[in-house]
Amino acid sequence: MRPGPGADKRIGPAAGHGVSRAAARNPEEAGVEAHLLARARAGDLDAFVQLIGLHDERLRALAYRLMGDAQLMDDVLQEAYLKAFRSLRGFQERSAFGSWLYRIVYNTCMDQLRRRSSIGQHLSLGEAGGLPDRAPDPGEVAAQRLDLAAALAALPPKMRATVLLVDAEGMDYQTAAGVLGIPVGTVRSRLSQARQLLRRALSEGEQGRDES
Amino acid sequence: MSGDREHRPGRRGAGERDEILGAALRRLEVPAHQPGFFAELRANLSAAVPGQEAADLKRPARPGWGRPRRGRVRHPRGWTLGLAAAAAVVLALLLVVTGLPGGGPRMASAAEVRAAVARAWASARAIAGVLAVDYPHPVPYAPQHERWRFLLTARGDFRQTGLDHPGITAYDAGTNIERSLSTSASMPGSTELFASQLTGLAPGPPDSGPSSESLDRSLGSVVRAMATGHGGRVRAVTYQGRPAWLFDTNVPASSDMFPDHLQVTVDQRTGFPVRVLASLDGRILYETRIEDLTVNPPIPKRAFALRFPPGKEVFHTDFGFRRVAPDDAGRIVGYAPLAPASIPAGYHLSEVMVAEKPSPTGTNPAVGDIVSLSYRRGLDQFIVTTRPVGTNPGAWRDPLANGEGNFTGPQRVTFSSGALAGRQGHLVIGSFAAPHLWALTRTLVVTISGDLTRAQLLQVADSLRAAP
Repeated sequence: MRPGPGADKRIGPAAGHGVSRAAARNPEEAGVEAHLLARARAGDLDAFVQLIGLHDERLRALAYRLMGDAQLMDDVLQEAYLKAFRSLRGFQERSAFGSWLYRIVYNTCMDQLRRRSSIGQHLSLGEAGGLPDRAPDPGEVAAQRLDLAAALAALPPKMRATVLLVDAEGMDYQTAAGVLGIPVGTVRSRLSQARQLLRRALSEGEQGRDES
Repeated sequence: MSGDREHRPGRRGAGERDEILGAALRRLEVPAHQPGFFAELRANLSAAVPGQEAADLKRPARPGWGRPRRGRVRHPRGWTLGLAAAAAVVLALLLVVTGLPGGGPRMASAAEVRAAVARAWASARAIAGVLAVDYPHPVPYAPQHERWRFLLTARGDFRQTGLDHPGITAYDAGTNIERSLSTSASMPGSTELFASQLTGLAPGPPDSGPSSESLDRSLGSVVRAMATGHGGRVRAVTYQGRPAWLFDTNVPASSDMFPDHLQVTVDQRTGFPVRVLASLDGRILYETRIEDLTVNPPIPKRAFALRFPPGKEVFHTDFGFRRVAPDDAGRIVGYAPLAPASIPAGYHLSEVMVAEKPSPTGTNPAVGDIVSLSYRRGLDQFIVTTRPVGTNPGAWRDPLANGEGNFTGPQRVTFSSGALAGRQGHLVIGSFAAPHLWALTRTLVVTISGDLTRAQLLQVADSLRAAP
């Protein structure tokens, strides 16, 4: 395996501090979010659902990549959104609302994954094929030229979440560390490992397509 | 996930990103929510008391009738859920259809149109309108055009009145009586009306249920077929003065009687399909239009009652099904029927029926002591049935197979948990057939059928338990 050409040059400048795709809104959108947040905190369910709607697409992506199954994605998001609603009054706006939601979703996913691994898998045969838990070793995945999704699914969930938050969602390391509840240094080390493995998968995939 | 967005320039040192990897990660597909997700969320939020820990969220599953669960979130039962949920679903639809607040209108993707249609179907309490079907190549003696005024509710009531031909059918789900005045198919051209009354109807397949087939074929099957297909092309159009999506999609063809392509016009405001062009190998098989569509219309009193003219001879048929209290079913049939401990979001148990009288399904042995559980979510429905296997288990074939050819080749699946654990079953997903699954236990024949995806069918099957 070798890294793809120019892999080292792919690193771009960071987004502004605390500015991610999730948070990068224009002033009008930010105003809408603030207005909805105020109404939701006052107990307005409609406002809360709209607020969720502003972030749902990205949270779905995180939950799906962590859980590896659409049904489980919905289950954890139901649970996470309910938790968020219940905790809304305690949200002190020390982080962006979106980052706070990410944290709740991430923690709910990790709780669910821990629970599932402790009780063992009891799934239909048909479902078993899509589970990340059964994925092979990350190195093997890259070697076998499976696509990026498979390589991502083969990463440990914590590493997966880190690369998704930083590279896909554009969070800076500090914000990602806050969401994941880990030091910035750990974000760096996880990213370094994850990127190596995923770049190999990417470059192998590209090479495979070129050859075909 | 949505496509690339520009990175904002920011200060150095806050972290670095791999732009190429990030772009590739953002291109990975992410599924839409299951239909009814936001309805369920709204229901859960409504039930939540802020600041109080949700003790019941952590309770383990309880097998039986009363409170099926999905994941770990429990659902309130009854019609109030649908009512409360409808508003949230409409809101969710608005988010999908018009884009997010402040974001301005945008083009919907095929997945979003599919999701919007599924949500509309799953959240409506009732729909009314005129159903028009045109067959460019009718078979001999069959009409080329049909127009019906219809009213259909989430409880299962319906009324169809012929507009270009005589005939009326009304089914009252409350009394489980269907009455009709209709012409005879064996007397082409005749306008003589025959009166019939059906009682003891089953909730639906594989047993004889209300005859809302034409509505289901025209509306429900399109929703199912859209769900079965993949990809598709969406264009924004105006249809009868209203904003709409024109959605082209291929659907799995199962025989030369069923389409391999659908062009569906979806009304953006309601999420309902209002025109369908169904074709096979580029040849139009039929065109269906819904005119004057009204979602959640007011329902007149006695809308589903039909009076026969005095002195009219009435043909009576009783199918033997009776609505019973859930806890009485086992006592009546003499065995513990199977009920799911886990059901997809938004569904609720709407009725439990039993039939002691033997009746056949397909080419199978006629057996009695059938238990049929009906679950509903808006206009969606799925049914779980159990019946004794009898003395010759090897004689059983798919109870839902009706020979129409609208599905082929069942898939063999092995169940991992619940009453069916370790047993094999047969799963059928076809574009124009009710998705279903059937299996045998040592003593019972089990069917699950209706508006469910493959994963949901397996979810329900793996959670079946003997009901107390």
